Amino acid sequence: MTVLPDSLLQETAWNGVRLQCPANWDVIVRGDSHLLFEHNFTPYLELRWPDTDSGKTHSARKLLDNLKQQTGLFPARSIPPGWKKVRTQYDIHLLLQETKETPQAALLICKTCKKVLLFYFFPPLPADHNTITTLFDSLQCHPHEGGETVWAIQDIRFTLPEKCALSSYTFDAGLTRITFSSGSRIIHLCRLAPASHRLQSADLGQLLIRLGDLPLEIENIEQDSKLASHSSHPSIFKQVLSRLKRKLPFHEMYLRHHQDCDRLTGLFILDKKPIPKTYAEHILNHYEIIQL
Amino acid sequence: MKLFSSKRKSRPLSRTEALACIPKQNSDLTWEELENGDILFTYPIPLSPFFQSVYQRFSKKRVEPPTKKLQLDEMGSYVWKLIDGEKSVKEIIATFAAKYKVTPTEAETAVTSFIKTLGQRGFIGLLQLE
Repeated sequence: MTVLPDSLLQETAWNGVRLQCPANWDVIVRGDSHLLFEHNFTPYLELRWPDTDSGKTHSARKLLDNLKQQTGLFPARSIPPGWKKVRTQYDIHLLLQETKETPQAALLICKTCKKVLLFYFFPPLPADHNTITTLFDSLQCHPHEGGETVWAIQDIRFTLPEKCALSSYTFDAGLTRITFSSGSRIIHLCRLAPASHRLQSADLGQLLIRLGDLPLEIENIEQDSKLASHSSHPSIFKQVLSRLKRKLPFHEMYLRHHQDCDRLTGLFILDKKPIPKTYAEHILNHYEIIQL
Repeated sequence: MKLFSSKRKSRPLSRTEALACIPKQNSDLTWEELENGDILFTYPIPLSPFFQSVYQRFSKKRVEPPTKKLQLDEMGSYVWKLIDGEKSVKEIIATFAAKYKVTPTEAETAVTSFIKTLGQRGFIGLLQLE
């Protein structure tokens, strides 16, 4: 089995599932646990996994039967030798067309966390089967010891504490927003592109106020050419007032300009309790733009 | 009931078909390129014949139908210039993504929504290749 060089691979990590795919593939988020991989605007691979928080248990046999019914595919009698490495971590069920040898769908069940992952390859199937096995070899579906979760989508990559849950996300043109919650804490991450275009109409501080959507004055923003930031330390009276208005009184806001890749990245943390400075710093240190 | 369903709904285009379409500028539309490279459209406001006659009666100078101006920003102007009747939507997206260094998915969202708006205003038409 040939392994693609690292330079030709891109990392994708979304909602607990992490894998590497060819760098020229586009990854589209279709749902909380649904990714679509495309090449040149043509769908190539679909990946779905059930939401573990929903409380539903998914029987592999039932999923397999559903899949057989919906696609008309047949279960493979043997697993090709290229899947040897994946077999050590996952129970594999492959489905293929009657006349072909290359699998068209794969159901993987993690031996450690029991997560069920469903892969479906859109026809025509890739001629280079090594690409597929490279992808499966890099697959991870649960965080390693250390408790942090890696997120890598489009051209952003960041690390968050494991207990942060995905709340919402939007992938608009030039503006990506992802929101997480952890107890009373809300973490917004955003990425704007191209930065040069955004900065034509407003400076970093003004953009920070606009993105943060908080009643702030520009004088309250600390800024230089690369970073604009603001952190609130409200008085007891203001804290009580905010709580009465059902607003989170403490916030840490950062907007960074990545001049080398023409991007802006923002981090907004809101909480009802004081936010440790190290918490925001830790996220900022692991929040980067990947040059695709 | 067939009797009352005079308009047969056409099948909506699939994503692949829509991306393969070739947008073409409306030749009747008046537009100019400004010094800063932005595009400025001047187009007539469609009025019903009744309002047209009212407008003509109360308009002192006269007879030109009322017009509206619309100025595109830098990105919109760039996409407008790419619409040459030869490039497909897919090619325009790829060129846009390369120019503004955004991901193809982002470029697709931006360009397709812009093309849709232009189409709704009648500024462009889409040629569908067989």
